Amino acid sequence: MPSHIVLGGEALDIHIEHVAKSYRLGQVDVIALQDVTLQLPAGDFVSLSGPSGAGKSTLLGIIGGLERPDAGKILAGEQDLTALDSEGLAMYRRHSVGFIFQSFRLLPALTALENVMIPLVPLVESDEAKQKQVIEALDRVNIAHRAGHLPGELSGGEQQRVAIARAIVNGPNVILADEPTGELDRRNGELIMQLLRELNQSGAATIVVASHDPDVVGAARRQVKMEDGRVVAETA
Amino acid sequence: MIWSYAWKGFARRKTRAALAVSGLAISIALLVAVATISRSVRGAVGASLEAAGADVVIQKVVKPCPWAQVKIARDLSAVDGTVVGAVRDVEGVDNTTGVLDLWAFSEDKETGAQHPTVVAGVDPRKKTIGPVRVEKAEGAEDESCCAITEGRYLLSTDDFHVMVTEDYAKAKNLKLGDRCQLGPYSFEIVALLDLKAGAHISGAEAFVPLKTAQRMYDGGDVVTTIFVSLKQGRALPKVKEVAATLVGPEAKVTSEANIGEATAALAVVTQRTLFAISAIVLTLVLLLVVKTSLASVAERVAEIGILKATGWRDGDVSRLLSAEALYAGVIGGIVGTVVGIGLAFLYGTVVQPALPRSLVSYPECSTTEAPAALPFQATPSLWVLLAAMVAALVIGSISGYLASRRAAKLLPAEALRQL
Repeated sequence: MPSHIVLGGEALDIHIEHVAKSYRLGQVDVIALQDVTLQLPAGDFVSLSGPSGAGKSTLLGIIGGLERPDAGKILAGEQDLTALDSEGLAMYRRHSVGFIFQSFRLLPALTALENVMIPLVPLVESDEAKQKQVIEALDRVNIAHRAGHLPGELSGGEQQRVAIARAIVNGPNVILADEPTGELDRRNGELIMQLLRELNQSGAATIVVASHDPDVVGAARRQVKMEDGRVVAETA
Repeated sequence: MIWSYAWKGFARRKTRAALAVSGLAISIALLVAVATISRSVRGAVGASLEAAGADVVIQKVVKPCPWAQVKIARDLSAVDGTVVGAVRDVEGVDNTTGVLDLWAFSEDKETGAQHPTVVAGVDPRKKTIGPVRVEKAEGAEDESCCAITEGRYLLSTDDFHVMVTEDYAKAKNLKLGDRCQLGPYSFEIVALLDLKAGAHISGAEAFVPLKTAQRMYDGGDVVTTIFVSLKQGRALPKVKEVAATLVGPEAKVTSEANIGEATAALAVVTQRTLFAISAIVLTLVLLLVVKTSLASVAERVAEIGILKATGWRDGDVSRLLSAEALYAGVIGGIVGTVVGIGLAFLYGTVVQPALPRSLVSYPECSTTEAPAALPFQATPSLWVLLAAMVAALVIGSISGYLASRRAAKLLPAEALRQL
């Protein structure tokens, strides 16, 4: 763990090659991704757009090591994620990935500080060092003054800031945001996207945002459009 | 840090935690209480035999005999005096003595009613065994049960001489050297006895020479209770066999092993029953705690998904759930043990365990209180406490293990999709 948070400390290029994924829903096989190939160079800021069911969230999950593709390869630097076991994927998520979810997914009984601490709990560093790192992450997203509050006492925008602090506290190389503004009003949505832009500019972390909100999509440097589990367009 | 995080998780799910802890605590309390009471009653029962310097008591129990001015106490029956010698000859037997338990009725001067005095005929030569054991046997560690506060012990040459308890002397306003009426006979008081607190098998208000008691009963060389001390415990089956042969089918052989069965209330819980109860209770609690833990995993799919998404390994999640289950085990074990010991103490004060009636010679209307109360002192066994804590921890560990296995199987993406 770094002594202070460095986003994208080690440049990590991600190569997605011919990835396919399907789910079984009852008796029906649902194709989520088919033959997706995509390059995510270190430090990129990419949006994934498309209608519901286009495969955006599944692709984020596969890039983040939350699930495995049925076919194809994901290379994170030199590492082939499809060759990793669950322990290896957990370590990849721990050291390289930060997730931001649409509905924040903060644990309601824990304070903002404790929520941001979650990724650090299993680590062996001293409590003091962890605390310092959490405060720094909260400070980075301008929410340190609300560290002692429970999620229920925070506004939607504040909760998403806490969730972003949780995503960056480990100094990840890739930040994956799934509809990060989906539950926020326009103003708060803009503030969150501004924050993600700043995080992207302040280090070499790659940011991938899945959204069907044109404003969010337009905020990224590169736009990838998906339909029916395929990449149908890429614009820079 | 997982331990402190687990503690927060355990503490904030108050209902689930309370359910798991109280289930464990109640079962552990029950086991500790029953085991402690059972052990303490057995100890108390053992003390009553110890007080008599005996390991075994042989009696013949039949129906109460009809009223007579001098009659055999309660439902006991006369056993030929030669049985005392025959039992003594059994290999492994150290010493024996025969006692004749009688009720001697005398007219109450005030009411004119016949009032019984509990009389025991004892062998004056046997001071180390029997109901008035004033001396320790050679090599014995236990203290004697009784003390002569005034006067002297009975002599072989005594005839109508009696030792009375201090309580009886006080109730009858008697003192050393006075004459005392037992049935139609008048006795000289040669000693005042302090029988000390606790239960006394064949305890009596007045102790006379055995030969004199036999004359009072007018049944020849007979006794009603035979006290037997053993050199080796393995002699017991042979003693039982000899007693059954010589006394007949009504022979009742009482030892520490079976005396508890006839004692009031929870003393009936034998070691085997205790193990059976323990196994059933612990199995039920294990099921309850496991169900609670698994339900807790089902409720926490969202949390587990987030933990895994943020880099927690399956092993980290397992450790978290195991730690929470162990907290339930430790707290349940400690609370249960403390409550169990408390219940055992409460039992000792509320329910005073007593000797089985067959071992108490006193009638309901006796002048003094029957020495039947067992000296109950709740003394928990270190092994029971250890076993209770181990059981609580094992239950906690098993439930934690099962819960963590289920949590480990949850795929992070699926867990997050369930939100």
